[in-house]
Amino acid sequence: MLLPLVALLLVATLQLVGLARDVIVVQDLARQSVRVAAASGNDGATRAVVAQRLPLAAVEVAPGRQPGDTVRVVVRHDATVAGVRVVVTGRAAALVEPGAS
Amino acid sequence: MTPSIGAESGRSSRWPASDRSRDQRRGGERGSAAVAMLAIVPVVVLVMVVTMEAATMVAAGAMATGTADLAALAAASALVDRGQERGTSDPHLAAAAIAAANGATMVACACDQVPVEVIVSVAITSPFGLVANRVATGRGRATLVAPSAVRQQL
Repeated sequence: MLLPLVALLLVATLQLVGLARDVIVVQDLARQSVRVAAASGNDGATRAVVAQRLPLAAVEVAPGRQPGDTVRVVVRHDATVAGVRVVVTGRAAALVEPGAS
Repeated sequence: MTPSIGAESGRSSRWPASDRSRDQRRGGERGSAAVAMLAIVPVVVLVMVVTMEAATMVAAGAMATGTADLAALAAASALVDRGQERGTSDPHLAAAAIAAANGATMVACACDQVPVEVIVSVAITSPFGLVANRVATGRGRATLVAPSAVRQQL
């Protein structure tokens, strides 16, 4: 009775740690990709940053093409916690840099 | 010798002393699992709560650092624009706007110098309220390089 309950709580803790790791990774990827978008203005390169680590994640790049505009990137990744699907979202915004094409 | 005493003595002879003591031990351990559960379950729940709080703080710290970098880059870009008279953007305002767009608040900015240095703070949203009213701060620095060098680096 006791051991299964403790094991269940430990598994739940590990699942939550995994979810927290996913949140940090997705947020970090959103920042890396918005940096690429701001410096290069290339959507393909922006999406490639995310695809390298999370191939199934969805990436939205809001248009910000001219230097001085704000470009926004939203990364959505499906995580599973205890069999339940959770969408982890990371958002980042940056100023389009001079020389971005 | 009465039959009842004989029956009692007969049972004693069939059940060795070690079995009797084991029965007594079992009786003494009855309920011990509940006591152990009362001791262990709160510890495991506490570990869960502390883990979640720590993860929240780590995430807020990473977000603050990343946002400070982006805000510093925005200030540096605005500085370039201003130097080339291409725009009227103020480096300070640009950094503050990017910090706000990333869910942070700009605390300080050395925006009129190179390298640009920005400090931002992010409110920590604690899932269990153990670290209420706390903020994570991040410091970002950006300098001016040729755009081609930036693209090569990325």
